[in-house]
Amino acid sequence: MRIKPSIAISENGFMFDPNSGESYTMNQLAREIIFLLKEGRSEEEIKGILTGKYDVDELTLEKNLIDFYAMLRHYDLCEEGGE
Amino acid sequence: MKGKPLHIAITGLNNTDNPGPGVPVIRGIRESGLDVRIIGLAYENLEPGIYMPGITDITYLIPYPSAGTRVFLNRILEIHDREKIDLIIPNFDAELYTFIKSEKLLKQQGIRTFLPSPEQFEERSKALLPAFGKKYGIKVPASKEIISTADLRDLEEEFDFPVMVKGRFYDAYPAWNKEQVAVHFHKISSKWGLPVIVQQFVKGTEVNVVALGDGTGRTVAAVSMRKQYITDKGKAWGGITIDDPRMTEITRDLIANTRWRGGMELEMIRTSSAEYYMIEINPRIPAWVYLAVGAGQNIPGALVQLAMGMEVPVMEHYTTGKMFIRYSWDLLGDIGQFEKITMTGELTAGAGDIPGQPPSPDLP
Repeated sequence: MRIKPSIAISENGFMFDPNSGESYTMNQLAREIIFLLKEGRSEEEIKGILTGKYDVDELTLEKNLIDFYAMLRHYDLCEEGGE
Repeated sequence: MKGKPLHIAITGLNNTDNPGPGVPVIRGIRESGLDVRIIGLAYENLEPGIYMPGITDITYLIPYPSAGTRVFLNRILEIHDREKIDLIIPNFDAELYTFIKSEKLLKQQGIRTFLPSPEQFEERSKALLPAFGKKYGIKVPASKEIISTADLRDLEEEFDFPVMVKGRFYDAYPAWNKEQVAVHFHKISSKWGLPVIVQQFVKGTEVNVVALGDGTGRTVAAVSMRKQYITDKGKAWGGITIDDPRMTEITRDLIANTRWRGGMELEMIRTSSAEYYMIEINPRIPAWVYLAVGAGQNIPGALVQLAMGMEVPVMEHYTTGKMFIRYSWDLLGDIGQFEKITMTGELTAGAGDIPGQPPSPDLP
């Protein structure tokens, strides 16, 4: 999965989709994941980075990541592939 | 050597919560770099554009077209005698037909217009929109003309509620049952006449395009916008430019197929499955056109150039993420200005203070 190249993301976590005109605000963790996706990191790599950095068990993290990726798909902010 | 400025007459100075496009059109023209004298044409003596600084050079009151074509045109020609108008840009749906039908007469007097043909104007009307969609391969919601309450009889079989009830020129209300349709029918028909149009409601995001066709099928400019804040009258109070290639494609195809001449606004609904339904085609520049100017396509300026026979290159690009937000602002005037426009039917910018009179007291 990768973030669509047309999506504009600012350092403070504000995201703008120029195709739909929708804008989104992200919390710190969402921003971190989005930037990792922008860097071209795979979902597996992101999971590894986050479990190493935060006090979270793998199952909880995976469940939350699945939700988050589903939300990105729902809002049409990402495209598959690019890993 | 500096030539004579272009004398451009413009209507639609009602910059209210249901704004006419006159003021943003004038702003665009003034920012285009053209040397112009702007002659405002107002229907009411309290249209804000009459009093706004830096908008018109002079404003004249004119009668409504419903007063009769002869009365209306006589007043235009009377103003032309004094102002030597080069171009008129009408901005109201309700007056467009009169100007389109009078194009030849105005041209004989040396007044240019840049408007669609009577056929182009008629075939995109709300009542004929389904046939228009079929002819040009555009998705249009099902709709029906309502002439009397008898036409409402089979409505429940023909439509899934909710539906939109629309006036031929303005106003649109949602209705969730036949009784609500009947209430809106009476309200709209008493204001805008018949027919009233019932249109299938389409769920989705309202997106609009402002575009300019040169009459040969070429799209000179097109800017897409998504409404961010909509008033109770359904007007955009805030909007943002977007980059939606499909909307641009629909616009270019439509202008190419119809050979549209003049400004236009396409109102579409984008569904969650990325289908586009055309809900209205307005045959004039919309009130939010200044957003397009700010985004890099000066459509009013280009329209003036096309009308005057100048060469205008196609504008391909604009900035996405450019926003507009309307606001209300109390503009202070003087009773002398109001007196002048009311009693003489004209007001020159900066005029109207009564010599020798003390300043007006502040009203509570």
